Amino acid sequence: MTTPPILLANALTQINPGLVIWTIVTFVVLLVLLRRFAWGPILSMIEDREVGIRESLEAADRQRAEAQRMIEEHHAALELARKDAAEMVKRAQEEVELARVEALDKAKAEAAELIASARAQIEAEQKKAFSEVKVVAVDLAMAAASKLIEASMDEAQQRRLVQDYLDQLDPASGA
Amino acid sequence: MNLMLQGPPIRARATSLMALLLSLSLLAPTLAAADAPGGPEESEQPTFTEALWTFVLDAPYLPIPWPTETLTRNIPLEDAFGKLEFEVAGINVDMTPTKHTVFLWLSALLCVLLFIPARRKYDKQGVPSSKGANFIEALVLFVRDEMAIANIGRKEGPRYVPFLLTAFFLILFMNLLSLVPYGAAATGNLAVTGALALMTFVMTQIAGMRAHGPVGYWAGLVPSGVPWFLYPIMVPIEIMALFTKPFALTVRLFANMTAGKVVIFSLIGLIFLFESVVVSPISVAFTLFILVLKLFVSFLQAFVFTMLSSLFIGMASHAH
Repeated sequence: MTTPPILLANALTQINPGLVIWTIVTFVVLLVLLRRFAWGPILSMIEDREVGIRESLEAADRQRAEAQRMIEEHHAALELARKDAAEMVKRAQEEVELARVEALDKAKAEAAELIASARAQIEAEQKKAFSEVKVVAVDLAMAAASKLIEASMDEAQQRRLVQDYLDQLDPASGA
Repeated sequence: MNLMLQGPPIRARATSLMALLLSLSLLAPTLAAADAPGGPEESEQPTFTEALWTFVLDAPYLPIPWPTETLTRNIPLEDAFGKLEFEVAGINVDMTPTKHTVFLWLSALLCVLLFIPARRKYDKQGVPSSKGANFIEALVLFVRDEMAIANIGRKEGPRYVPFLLTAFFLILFMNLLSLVPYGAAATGNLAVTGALALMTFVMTQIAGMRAHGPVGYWAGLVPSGVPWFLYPIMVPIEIMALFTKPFALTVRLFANMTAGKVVIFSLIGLIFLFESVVVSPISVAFTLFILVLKLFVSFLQAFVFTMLSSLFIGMASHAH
């Protein structure tokens, strides 16, 4: 006995309640299983990875900014150091120049002073020598005179005598 | 046989032979239906229409490849699982597994076997270490970002990702299993698609009540700013809208999968209808085209079902 086709076509739209229940049961069991053992772990791993990537990117950004800042700081410090060094060199040069000029002036002054004092000393020595020579000359004249008186010789003799004496003394008188 | 002798040249004959093999493998379970315990009593050849419905409809037996005349053996599922029949409130419910129930379970089994090991394919940094895990992750990310987050929102969306993923893959595998010889389209059954749409309906209501509170959700079904005298019209319309959504889901999936089956059967059936092997190259070419199209439709319908589910959940949780 064959079933009329129209009844079979009707079967296409017939709903088997058993299959509905099986589908619901299967779906719910599968959902629970996969949620617990597949989707949950996979999704959480994906999320962890995404968070990790986002954090690494942020950290990288932060570090780059930090590095940039440090480079700029270093540049500024270097510039400052260079300027300081230049200034120091300049100041040192100025100081050296100043010291040189000062030393030169001092040396010149000292030399002048030395010359002046030498000159004064020479003058003083000269004066002293002159006065000593004068004293000696007076002494000698007086000694000669006394000799003249003692001997009471004629003028010629006296003159010779004085002359002799003077000649005799001559090398010593230069002292 | 004399058809073969006066038939087309060698090459076309080889194609015809392939066509015969393919048509036999696709239709073998159908031809064997005559011997099935649930089938017609007499062992006469089934009519074309009967064969079509055997190809499309659910059955109480499971056809498997067997080296007999019809290349098929029908395993009565009642013998394998026992009769599971009971009465609830006067309605007789037959829970005995059918062909479509078995394919529903096969699809669920595929999901379990494919996705549960996938989580072990991740290394310490949480990066998938195999191509399979990578592919699964691409699909998971697509469902999460393009469906859940895009339609439901960044805050509430991720909560529904497991539901959407389960629905997507269960439907996809049921669709794909219908393309395999001896396979049946479980999604070409209103009971299956209806139950799946019911799951979406339940999820939608839960999402709405979660977002607005049980009272707020039902009160918010009628758009605010509607004059009171329109309520007699608006309330039935909104309640109807509530049920048309899952109804559309049910029928869309069912119709798509059934239509594919009918077209494939009809194309292969042309060979038998004309009783000529000359038709087979055309039949096979078109069947191949339809099969490839169905491969695409399998993905598309799984996507559409899941996409619309996420859209409905999103509408319920935003609303107003």
